[in-house]
Amino acid sequence: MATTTNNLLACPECDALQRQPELAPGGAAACMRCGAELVRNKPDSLEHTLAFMVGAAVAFACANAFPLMQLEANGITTESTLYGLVKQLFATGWPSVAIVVLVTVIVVPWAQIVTSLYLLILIKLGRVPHLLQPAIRTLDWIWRWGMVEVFFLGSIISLVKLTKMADVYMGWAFYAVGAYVLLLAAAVAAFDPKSLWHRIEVLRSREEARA
Amino acid sequence: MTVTAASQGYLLCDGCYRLNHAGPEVLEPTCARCGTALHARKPASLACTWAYLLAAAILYIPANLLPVMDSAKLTILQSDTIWSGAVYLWNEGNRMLSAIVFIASIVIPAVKIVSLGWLLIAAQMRSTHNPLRRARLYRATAYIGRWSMVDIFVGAVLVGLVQFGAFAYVLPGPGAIFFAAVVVLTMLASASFDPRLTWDPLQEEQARER
Repeated sequence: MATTTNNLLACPECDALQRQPELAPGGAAACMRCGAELVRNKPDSLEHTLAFMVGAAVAFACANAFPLMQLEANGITTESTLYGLVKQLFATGWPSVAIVVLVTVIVVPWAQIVTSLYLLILIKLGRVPHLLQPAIRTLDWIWRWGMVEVFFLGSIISLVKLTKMADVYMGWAFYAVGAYVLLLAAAVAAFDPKSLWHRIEVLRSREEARA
Repeated sequence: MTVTAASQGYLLCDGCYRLNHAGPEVLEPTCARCGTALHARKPASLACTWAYLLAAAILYIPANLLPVMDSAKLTILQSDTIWSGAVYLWNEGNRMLSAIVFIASIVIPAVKIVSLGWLLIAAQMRSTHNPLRRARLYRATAYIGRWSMVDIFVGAVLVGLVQFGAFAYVLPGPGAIFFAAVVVLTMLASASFDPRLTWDPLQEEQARER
């Protein structure tokens, strides 16, 4: 069907059909009916997203490798890493809560990092990823289950609670979690699915021309 | 007058936001760019959202009544529900934290359940009254739901760290998993609700007036 849909937009939240306006770099268009953001012109979106995502991956690796907090009371010291928390939850007989924490704070963030770096790096190198569809569908479904920022708030609250009963020392992982939260937010803000798909279409037509 | 994509035979792809044209003669349309199955509206959106929402509302009761955390300090054994944990923080002088826990764990899930219930009833009754307010309410509930998980993480950190043998320890209580389930179910409910259903009755009204 030869229908030009290039400058038509449908609002994903209310389905209103409207024309896409010309946007200056950094400019955004909101839906005329419900006010949802429709498009935002983000220059060099792929490069910025990739840079922030690499930073987020490094920060998250540190967050996993180093101890999160150290507690000292009555001469006894305990410390825990992110994974140590999950192990302790399993050991105390609450596998269900352990699984919730494992999935939302460790598994999903890693899956998000690996999948998005796979997509961004290959597209940046000028290749269409083989697993394009499954990768994008995975990202689209899992993002909401990554809750490291909520975990960060939770660990600040528990820190304040613990200062009453023991001496608390923040470990490197605590700061790394904070850095990851900021970098991931920056990556999400820089990401523009429209320009990513535009690049993919250009790459596909180039591949077809070569074949 | 607003024209909707659906009324013109356009289907927006959920996966890549490409606007595809497919008439009713196409049985199972897929996106020309990314291959995702296309739907004018999320399939069975109202039924799925009701199911998740009712399950969340039921589990909200044990989540609040059962203790989420048991802690022991020497001989003092303490069992805390979410409410008593917030009260404890308030009495300790941590009013800020107490307010965060109270809002994130008790107020937000309740407000979210009631708001989504209202959005569902309004969509089902084909209400045309103030859709903009409902659209904003939906956006707010979809964004804020995840923060309710904060109390689970507070518990996880305390359980992981406070293990001083007999001197002091913290154990998760039976309410914790109900509470996590409420948060997950309300997130699934708002993800399965299609906000376009809020606006569709306006289109039907326009068509009737014409």
